Amino acid sequence: MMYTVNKKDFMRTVSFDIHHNGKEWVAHNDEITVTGETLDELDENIKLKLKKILSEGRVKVTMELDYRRNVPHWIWQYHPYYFYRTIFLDLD
Amino acid sequence: MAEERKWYTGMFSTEDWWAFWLGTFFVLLGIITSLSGVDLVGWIIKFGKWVAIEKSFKASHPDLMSPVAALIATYIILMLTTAIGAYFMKWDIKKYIGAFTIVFWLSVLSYIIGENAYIAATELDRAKYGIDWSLSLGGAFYIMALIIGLIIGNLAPKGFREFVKLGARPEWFIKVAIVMLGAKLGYLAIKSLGYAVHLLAAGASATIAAYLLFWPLAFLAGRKLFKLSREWAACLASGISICGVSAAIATAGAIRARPIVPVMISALIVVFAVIELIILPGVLAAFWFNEPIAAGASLGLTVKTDGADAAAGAILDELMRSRAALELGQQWEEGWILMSAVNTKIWIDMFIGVWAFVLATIWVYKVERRPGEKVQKMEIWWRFPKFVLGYFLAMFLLLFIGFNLYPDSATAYKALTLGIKPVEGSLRKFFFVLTFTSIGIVTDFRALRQEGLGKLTLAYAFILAVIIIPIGWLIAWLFHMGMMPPTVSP
Repeated sequence: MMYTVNKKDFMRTVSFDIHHNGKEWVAHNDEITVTGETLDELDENIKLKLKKILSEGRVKVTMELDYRRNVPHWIWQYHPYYFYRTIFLDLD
Repeated sequence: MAEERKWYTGMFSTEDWWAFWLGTFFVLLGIITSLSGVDLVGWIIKFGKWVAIEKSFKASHPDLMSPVAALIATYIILMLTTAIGAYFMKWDIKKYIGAFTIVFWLSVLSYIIGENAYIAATELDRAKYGIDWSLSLGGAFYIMALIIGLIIGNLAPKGFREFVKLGARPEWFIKVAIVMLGAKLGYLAIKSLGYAVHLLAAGASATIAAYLLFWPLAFLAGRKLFKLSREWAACLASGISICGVSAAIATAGAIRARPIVPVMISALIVVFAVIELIILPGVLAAFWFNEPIAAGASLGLTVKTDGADAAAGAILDELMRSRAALELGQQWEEGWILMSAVNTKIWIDMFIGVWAFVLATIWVYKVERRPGEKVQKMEIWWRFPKFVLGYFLAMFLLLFIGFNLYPDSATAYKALTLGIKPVEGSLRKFFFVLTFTSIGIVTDFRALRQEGLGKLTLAYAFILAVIIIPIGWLIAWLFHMGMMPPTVSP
């Protein structure tokens, strides 16, 4: 399923794993993959992609960095978490 | 499948949480032993100075089992408990057990060699061991473990080196040990409550002062003197002025930097932390003997990984106490200088979540002005070092039990010794030795030759030597001046 509905605010939520491949940011889940050289560009491309798939309205998008993919194993013990972005997109 | 992050995410899948679980488990074993009299901790191996090698180790409660049985029991229990953590963290269990086994036995070897009386005995000890000379190198077992680790980490064949690294987890091991150190602080505070509170308060105050001075100065130096970009300067400033690798990663995440930035800076941080670990304890013991607690606290402010800081604190504790025994004829209680070093570091670690939240807010709303993005307050919790919860839980549990279940503090201290002493003493020290061996194994000095690290290395060395260490010493002195470790009867 493309999105879940948050029980508190009933907002549609689309979640992605995100990593950086050396050139660009890559956000992906089971159904779609979106890329962008900067996070601004990535957010814009996600918005364009979701517009094609979902109906109009506000959507919450979460992105958690795939830690194991981007951070070497020896560093995990120091800090277990990189970032968890939350953005709100208006699909008008 | 990507999922929304929850407050409990990572509770069974990160080393930070597993340090909390394992450390708390061992402390609870000690508490149950003390309260019930059922011996759950007598198996813990205890090393000591020796002339005849058969006396180099024994069980913490020798009536329970033979020395060799205790050594094997310690290996099996530590291997199993850490392997359970490794299983939940989805590591390759077979490889972990193999690598941990090597790290364990190298640590045992280092401990035994380093405790030889000809190496470790002080002038005052010599008669006890029937020897007429010794090097008086207190804490030599730590250095021995570090040297053996460094030889493997830098000179062993690559395949073997990489394999052993799977079981060499310095930050994990030291965080488990720090939870046990919380039990030690609670246990000692039963008879020295005022002193322990003073130490905690001084450490917290020093840390806040350091945050406010270190980070802005380090950031400015990175930007103005070394012309680093905002992204690099912010991560470097956090790494060098707050809590090392952890801060570099947290800051990079907060400012949404590319992951390569903190990864490269982290390689620098661990190498410089080991250089500090080798140099600073000797320098401080030689030139700051009159302020042992301030000297310990300064390590927490200047050595930027938990492992290297605690390791340096342990060496400083040994060096200072040996000197006090020799020159002043005083027996300073073991562990206070070390706890001073760990105390300041723990406060620094705790605030990283708040600092990262502040940086994220500034970056997202002011610097990058990214529309639609919201910084969540939960970031503070996600970045909070969970092993610190274990440290304070252990301390408060011991204090609660000590002040509520016994008629007076002397009775409480004596009653708790049976179970707590093996955990906060022998087992904690062994985890320290595991940490030293692991630090050596994972520290690869070749990292400094990485392409693109030249300017960063220069910036790091400059900021460390000119800003962090001098200011760290000054702040430590301002907040800890005149504090001396409690003395004990020989």
